[in-house]
Amino acid sequence: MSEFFKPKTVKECIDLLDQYGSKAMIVNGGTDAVEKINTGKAQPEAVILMTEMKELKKITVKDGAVHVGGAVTYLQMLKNAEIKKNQGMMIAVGAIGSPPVRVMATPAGNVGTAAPSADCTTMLMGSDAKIHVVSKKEGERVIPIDKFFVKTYVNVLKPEDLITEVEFPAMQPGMGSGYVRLTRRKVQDIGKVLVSATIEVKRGRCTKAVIGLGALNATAVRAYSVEEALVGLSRKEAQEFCRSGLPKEAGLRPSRYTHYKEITTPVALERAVMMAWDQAEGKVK
Amino acid sequence: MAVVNFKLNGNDVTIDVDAKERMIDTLRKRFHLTGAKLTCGTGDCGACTVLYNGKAIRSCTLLTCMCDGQEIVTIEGLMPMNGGKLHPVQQAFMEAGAIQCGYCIPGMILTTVAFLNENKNPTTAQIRAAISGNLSRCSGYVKIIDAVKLAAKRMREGA
Ligand SMILES: Cc1cc2nc3c(=O)[nH]c(=O)nc-3n(C[C@H](O)[C@H](O)[C@H](O)COP(=O)(O)OP(=O)(O)OC[C@H]3O[C@@H](n4cnc5c(N)ncnc54)[C@H](O)[C@@H]3O)c2cc1C
Ligand code: FES
Repeated sequence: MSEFFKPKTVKECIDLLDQYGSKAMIVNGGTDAVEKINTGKAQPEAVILMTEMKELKKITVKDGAVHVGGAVTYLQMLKNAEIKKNQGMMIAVGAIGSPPVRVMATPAGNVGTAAPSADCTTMLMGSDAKIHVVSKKEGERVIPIDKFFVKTYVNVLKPEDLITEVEFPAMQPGMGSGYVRLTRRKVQDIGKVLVSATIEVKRGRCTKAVIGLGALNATAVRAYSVEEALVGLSRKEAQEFCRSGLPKEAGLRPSRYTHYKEITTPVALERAVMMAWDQAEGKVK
Repeated sequence: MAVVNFKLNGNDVTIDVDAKERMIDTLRKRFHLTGAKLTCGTGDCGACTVLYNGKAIRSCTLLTCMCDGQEIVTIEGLMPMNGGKLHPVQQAFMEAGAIQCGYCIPGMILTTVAFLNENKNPTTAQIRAAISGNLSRCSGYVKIIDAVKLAAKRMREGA
């Protein structure tokens, strides 16, 4: 038999998490967690709901960074003026599941589940995001997203941890983002190749690049080798570089999709980077 | 056990459930409201759709306790909550011949109700996107899209 709790504040929530430890489970939008509970993979004694956590339901911009609260839904993100400036984020979030899924599901839950093919997570990887976490014992921690995942469906979170927000740089002039996901069906399909890119362009040359890859490796990963190579390149050179091969961070695992992924990932990378480039040069609104 | 209070089809209800119970099971087994169907159980098919505070969502990925203090409407509630008359979306689905076996229709209709409350004059592309999470295996979707357009027109005209 399980009980449920509806904490109203972060303090109340982390006290509960501390009290119940591994017997507690946060259920946010429930789009991953409820199936886990229903199939018996998770058997929480205390279900901790985010429904009353008003302080975590806000999207704010502070010091050049966007802060998405730990209980903000995708629907909220898609309607937010600041998120709308981030082309890649809009595409990634707008592709998740179907409209009814996006009413409830949250970025905190996406990184919480730690699936290798997670869309918002892959875009956050290509946005140099940071995950803000708090627990009663350890206080507040800020974890860069590329240090957040351990292996498939495992992240660094402890049972007592609450994600309070996800933070990433706000869009500035000269900056653009892109997201490409290759799927078998147009909607409600888990991506087979996911590529995210955030780049900065000055006088026709790339000055900074952040690249994320999803659905290839055991977790979403950052493609540092691509980031380094892109800096200093023109649009055409960048395009050629992206097409030239599979980024070494892809770490493709053997599966029946390996060959498909090998040949399509460079194309998806090229498209994501070009999409970001066009936004950086003001060619898209 | 955990006491959950919520509004169901306009009425205040209180139940005592395990916090792990799903809303689809509560509706079907405790309230005998069988319009929402448990089908995939994974959030993919849309047959279990209900309105949660006016928005269409999946009741198979919703714990009943998540509805404490919230409002749920099922297909059974649409007519009583519309003064005993069929909701314009229900009427339009009948008139457009959008229903074949009927299995997906409660979900389709509730998804359409929520969608048209937000978008009074949708394009075909927007309609297709709105119902993209509701699977129909016999209709081919064409008449369903016609029905959504008809319902939108009627609702704009104040039906
Ligand atoms: C039909 C369907 C289609 C889907 N399609 C996609 C898709 O295309 N792309 C994709 O990426 N995902 C998809 N998903 C998966 C899912 O919707 C996402 O992973 C979603 O972001 C999870 O968010 P949630 O709020 O529902 O998480 P929940 O299910 O509530 O929680 C997930 C996990 O995160 C933990 N958690 C949640 N919030 C916090 C917090 N604040 N602090 C600490 N831990 C927390 C929970 O304890 C749990 O372990 C789909 C799911 C369904 C049902
Ligand atoms: S039964 Fe809930 S979406 Fe299929």
